[in-house]
Amino acid sequence: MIKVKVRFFAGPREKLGIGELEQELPLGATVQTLVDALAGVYPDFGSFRLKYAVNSAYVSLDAALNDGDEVACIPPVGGG
Amino acid sequence: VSSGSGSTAGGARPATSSVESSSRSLFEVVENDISVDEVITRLADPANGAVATFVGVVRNQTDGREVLYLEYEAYPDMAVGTLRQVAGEVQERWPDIREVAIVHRVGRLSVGETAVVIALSAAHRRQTFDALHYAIDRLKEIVPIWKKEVWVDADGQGPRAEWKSEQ
Repeated sequence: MIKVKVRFFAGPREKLGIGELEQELPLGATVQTLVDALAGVYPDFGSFRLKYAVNSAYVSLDAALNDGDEVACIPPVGGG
Repeated sequence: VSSGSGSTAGGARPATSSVESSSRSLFEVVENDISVDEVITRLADPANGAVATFVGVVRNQTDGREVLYLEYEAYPDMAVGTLRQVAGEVQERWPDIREVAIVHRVGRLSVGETAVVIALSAAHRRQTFDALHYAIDRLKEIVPIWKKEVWVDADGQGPRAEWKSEQ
Protein backbone atom coordinates (compact mmCIF):
# COMPACT_ATOMS: atom_id res chain seq x y z
CA MET A 1 0.00 0.00 0.00
CA ILE A 2 0.96 3.62 -0.46
CA LYS A 3 -0.38 6.67 1.33
CA VAL A 4 -0.98 9.99 -0.43
CA LYS A 5 -2.10 13.36 0.86
CA VAL A 6 -5.12 14.78 -0.95
CA ARG A 7 -6.00 18.49 -0.92
CA PHE A 8 -9.27 20.20 -1.80
CA PHE A 9 -9.89 23.85 -2.58
CA ALA A 10 -12.67 26.37 -3.12
CA GLY A 11 -16.08 24.87 -3.97
CA PRO A 12 -15.21 21.19 -3.46
CA ARG A 13 -13.48 22.02 -0.16
CA GLU A 14 -16.63 23.73 1.05
CA LYS A 15 -19.02 21.05 -0.25
CA LEU A 16 -17.00 18.17 1.21
CA GLY A 17 -16.30 20.10 4.38
CA ILE A 18 -12.66 19.06 4.33
CA GLY A 19 -9.42 20.67 3.14
CA GLU A 20 -7.16 17.64 3.13
CA LEU A 21 -7.05 13.97 3.93
CA GLU A 22 -4.75 10.98 3.72
CA GLN A 23 -5.72 8.14 1.44
CA GLU A 24 -4.28 4.64 1.28
CA LEU A 25 -4.04 3.14 -2.20
CA PRO A 26 -2.69 -0.09 -3.64
CA LEU A 27 0.79 -0.21 -5.14
CA GLY A 28 0.61 0.81 -8.78
CA ALA A 29 -2.22 3.26 -8.13
CA THR A 30 -2.82 6.12 -10.53
CA VAL A 31 -4.73 9.35 -10.13
CA GLN A 32 -7.75 7.51 -11.54
CA THR A 33 -7.46 4.94 -8.72
CA LEU A 34 -7.59 7.79 -6.23
CA VAL A 35 -10.54 9.43 -7.98
CA ASP A 36 -12.49 6.15 -7.82
CA ALA A 37 -11.68 5.76 -4.13
CA LEU A 38 -12.80 9.32 -3.35
CA ALA A 39 -16.01 8.88 -5.34
CA GLY A 40 -16.76 5.84 -3.19
CA VAL A 41 -16.45 7.88 0.00
CA TYR A 42 -17.95 11.18 -1.16
CA PRO A 43 -21.13 10.90 -3.28
CA ASP A 44 -20.69 14.55 -4.42
CA PHE A 45 -17.19 13.92 -5.75
CA GLY A 46 -18.30 12.91 -9.24
CA SER A 47 -20.14 16.20 -9.72
CA PHE A 48 -16.98 18.31 -9.44
CA ARG A 49 -15.13 19.57 -12.51
CA LEU A 50 -11.55 18.87 -11.49
CA LYS A 51 -8.02 18.82 -12.77
CA TYR A 52 -5.32 17.11 -10.77
CA ALA A 53 -1.83 18.06 -9.70
CA VAL A 54 0.75 15.77 -8.13
CA ASN A 55 3.41 17.53 -6.09
CA SER A 56 2.33 20.87 -7.62
CA ALA A 57 2.42 19.84 -11.29
CA TYR A 58 -0.68 19.23 -13.42
CA VAL A 59 -1.00 15.56 -14.43
CA SER A 60 -3.43 13.36 -16.34
CA LEU A 61 -5.59 10.66 -14.78
CA ASP A 62 -3.17 7.91 -15.76
CA ALA A 63 -0.26 9.44 -13.81
CA ALA A 64 1.27 6.99 -11.34
CA LEU A 65 1.18 7.80 -7.63
CA ASN A 66 3.95 7.12 -5.16
CA ASP A 67 4.01 6.93 -1.39
CA GLY A 68 4.06 10.42 0.13
CA ASP A 69 2.74 12.24 -2.95
CA GLU A 70 0.54 15.27 -2.51
CA VAL A 71 -2.43 15.24 -4.88
CA ALA A 72 -4.38 18.47 -5.35
CA CYS A 73 -7.93 18.40 -6.70
CA ILE A 74 -8.16 21.62 -8.69
CA PRO A 75 -11.55 23.05 -9.62
CA PRO A 76 -11.74 25.71 -12.39
CA VAL A 77 -9.35 28.47 -11.35
CA GLY A 78 -10.37 32.11 -11.14
CA GLY A 79 -7.42 34.30 -10.25
CA GLY A 80 -6.88 37.83 -11.49
CA VAL B 1 9.85 55.98 -21.66
CA SER B 2 13.31 55.20 -22.91
CA SER B 3 16.47 56.88 -21.78
CA GLY B 4 19.00 57.94 -24.39
CA SER B 5 21.78 55.91 -22.81
CA GLY B 6 19.75 52.73 -22.45
CA SER B 7 21.76 50.55 -24.78
CA THR B 8 25.04 51.62 -23.22
CA ALA B 9 23.82 50.81 -19.74
CA GLY B 10 22.51 47.44 -20.90
CA GLY B 11 25.83 46.49 -22.40
CA ALA B 12 27.72 47.43 -19.26
CA ARG B 13 26.12 44.87 -16.94
CA PRO B 14 24.96 41.72 -18.70
CA ALA B 15 26.92 39.26 -16.56
CA THR B 16 25.30 40.18 -13.28
CA SER B 17 21.70 40.66 -14.33
CA SER B 18 20.58 37.01 -14.19
CA VAL B 19 22.15 36.51 -10.77
CA GLU B 20 20.42 39.58 -9.44
CA SER B 21 17.04 38.56 -10.82
CA SER B 22 17.18 35.10 -9.29
CA SER B 23 17.78 36.59 -5.83
CA ARG B 24 14.77 38.90 -6.15
CA SER B 25 11.32 37.58 -5.45
CA LEU B 26 9.43 38.02 -8.70
CA PHE B 27 6.47 35.72 -8.04
CA GLU B 28 4.50 35.90 -4.86
CA VAL B 29 1.15 35.17 -3.24
CA VAL B 30 0.55 37.68 -0.45
CA GLU B 31 -2.10 38.41 2.14
CA ASN B 32 -1.61 42.17 2.38
CA ASP B 33 -2.05 45.21 0.14
CA ILE B 34 -0.07 45.15 -3.09
CA SER B 35 1.81 48.29 -4.07
CA VAL B 36 2.14 48.65 -7.85
CA ASP B 37 5.19 50.86 -7.41
CA GLU B 38 6.86 48.28 -5.21
CA VAL B 39 6.28 45.51 -7.77
CA ILE B 40 7.77 47.73 -10.47
CA THR B 41 10.90 48.26 -8.40
CA ARG B 42 11.49 44.49 -8.52
CA LEU B 43 12.24 44.91 -12.23
CA ALA B 44 14.62 47.82 -11.75
CA ASP B 45 17.37 47.71 -14.32
CA PRO B 46 19.02 50.60 -16.16
CA ALA B 47 18.62 48.68 -19.42
CA ASN B 48 14.83 48.89 -19.19
CA GLY B 49 13.20 51.36 -21.55
CA ALA B 50 9.63 50.25 -20.88
CA VAL B 51 7.73 48.73 -18.00
CA ALA B 52 4.11 47.69 -18.63
CA THR B 53 1.76 46.80 -15.81
CA PHE B 54 -1.61 45.15 -15.49
CA VAL B 55 -3.49 45.81 -12.26
CA GLY B 56 -6.49 43.65 -11.47
CA VAL B 57 -8.92 45.43 -9.15
CA VAL B 58 -12.06 44.27 -7.34
CA ARG B 59 -15.06 45.90 -9.03
CA ASN B 60 -18.41 46.64 -7.45
CA GLN B 61 -20.67 44.72 -9.86
CA THR B 62 -20.78 41.37 -11.61
CA ASP B 63 -23.75 40.25 -13.69
CA GLY B 64 -25.73 43.22 -12.38
CA ARG B 65 -25.37 42.36 -8.72
CA GLU B 66 -23.67 44.39 -6.08
CA VAL B 67 -20.49 42.80 -4.78
CA LEU B 68 -19.86 43.02 -1.04
CA TYR B 69 -16.38 41.55 -1.20
CA LEU B 70 -14.30 38.82 -2.83
CA GLU B 71 -12.56 35.99 -1.07
CA TYR B 72 -9.46 34.64 -2.84
CA GLU B 73 -7.93 31.28 -2.00
CA ALA B 74 -4.69 29.81 -3.34
CA TYR B 75 -2.72 26.60 -3.39
CA PRO B 76 0.32 28.68 -2.53
CA ASP B 77 3.33 26.61 -3.58
CA MET B 78 1.83 25.58 -6.88
CA ALA B 79 0.52 29.10 -7.48
CA VAL B 80 4.04 30.52 -7.23
CA GLY B 81 5.34 27.75 -9.49
CA THR B 82 2.71 28.36 -12.13
CA LEU B 83 3.23 32.14 -11.98
CA ARG B 84 6.87 31.40 -12.77
CA GLN B 85 5.69 29.16 -15.62
CA VAL B 86 3.55 31.97 -17.03
CA ALA B 87 6.60 34.26 -17.00
CA GLY B 88 8.67 31.58 -18.72
CA GLU B 89 6.09 31.18 -21.46
CA VAL B 90 6.00 34.96 -21.92
CA GLN B 91 9.77 35.11 -22.35
CA GLU B 92 9.74 32.18 -24.75
CA ARG B 93 7.17 33.91 -26.97
CA TRP B 94 8.55 37.43 -26.62
CA PRO B 95 12.31 37.11 -26.09
CA ASP B 96 12.69 40.86 -25.74
CA ILE B 97 10.86 40.77 -22.41
CA ARG B 98 13.65 41.08 -19.87
CA GLU B 99 11.83 40.33 -16.64
CA VAL B 100 8.36 39.52 -15.35
CA ALA B 101 7.02 39.99 -11.82
CA ILE B 102 3.59 38.80 -10.71
CA VAL B 103 2.11 39.32 -7.25
CA HIS B 104 -1.35 38.00 -6.38
CA ARG B 105 -3.22 38.73 -3.20
CA VAL B 106 -5.43 36.24 -1.34
CA GLY B 107 -7.91 36.53 1.50
CA ARG B 108 -10.85 38.92 1.72
CA LEU B 109 -10.68 41.89 -0.68
CA SER B 110 -13.02 44.85 -0.78
CA VAL B 111 -14.19 46.78 -3.82
CA GLY B 112 -11.35 48.90 -5.19
CA GLU B 113 -8.56 46.81 -3.74
CA THR B 114 -5.81 45.35 -5.92
CA ALA B 115 -5.99 41.58 -6.45
CA VAL B 116 -3.08 41.13 -8.84
CA VAL B 117 -0.22 43.09 -10.36
CA ILE B 118 1.71 41.91 -13.39
CA ALA B 119 4.71 43.98 -14.38
CA LEU B 120 7.11 43.27 -17.18
CA SER B 121 10.09 45.07 -18.57
CA ALA B 122 11.81 45.43 -21.90
CA ALA B 123 14.28 47.69 -23.60
CA HIS B 124 11.49 48.94 -25.87
CA ARG B 125 7.73 49.09 -25.52
CA ARG B 126 6.81 47.15 -28.65
CA GLN B 127 6.26 43.65 -27.24
CA THR B 128 5.18 44.59 -23.74
CA PHE B 129 1.45 45.00 -24.43
CA ASP B 130 0.92 41.64 -26.14
CA ALA B 131 3.06 39.96 -23.51
CA LEU B 132 1.02 41.49 -20.71
CA HIS B 133 -2.24 40.40 -22.32
CA TYR B 134 -0.93 36.85 -22.64
CA ALA B 135 0.26 36.82 -19.02
CA ILE B 136 -3.09 37.73 -17.46
CA ASP B 137 -5.02 35.35 -19.74
CA ARG B 138 -2.65 32.52 -18.93
CA LEU B 139 -2.78 33.29 -15.21
CA LYS B 140 -6.54 32.89 -15.32
CA GLU B 141 -6.11 29.51 -17.05
CA ILE B 142 -3.51 27.69 -15.01
CA VAL B 143 -2.67 29.38 -11.70
CA PRO B 144 -4.43 27.62 -8.80
CA ILE B 145 -6.14 30.63 -7.28
CA TRP B 146 -9.88 30.79 -6.72
CA LYS B 147 -12.27 33.68 -6.27
CA LYS B 148 -15.49 33.62 -4.29
CA GLU B 149 -17.85 36.45 -4.94
CA VAL B 150 -20.12 37.51 -2.09
CA TRP B 151 -23.11 39.74 -2.86
CA VAL B 152 -26.54 40.79 -1.68
CA ASP B 153 -29.60 40.41 -3.96
CA ALA B 154 -31.54 43.44 -5.14
CA ASP B 155 -34.30 42.64 -2.65
CA GLY B 156 -31.79 42.60 0.18
CA GLN B 157 -31.66 38.80 0.40
CA GLY B 158 -28.30 37.30 1.20
CA PRO B 159 -25.44 37.49 1.45
CA ARG B 160 -24.98 34.91 -1.27
CA ALA B 161 -21.70 33.48 -2.51
CA GLU B 162 -20.38 31.78 -5.63
CA TRP B 163 -16.96 30.59 -6.80
CA LYS B 164 -16.22 32.32 -10.11
CA SER B 165 -14.13 31.13 -13.03
CA GLU B 166 -13.84 32.05 -16.69
CA GLN B 167 -13.05 28.44 -17.55
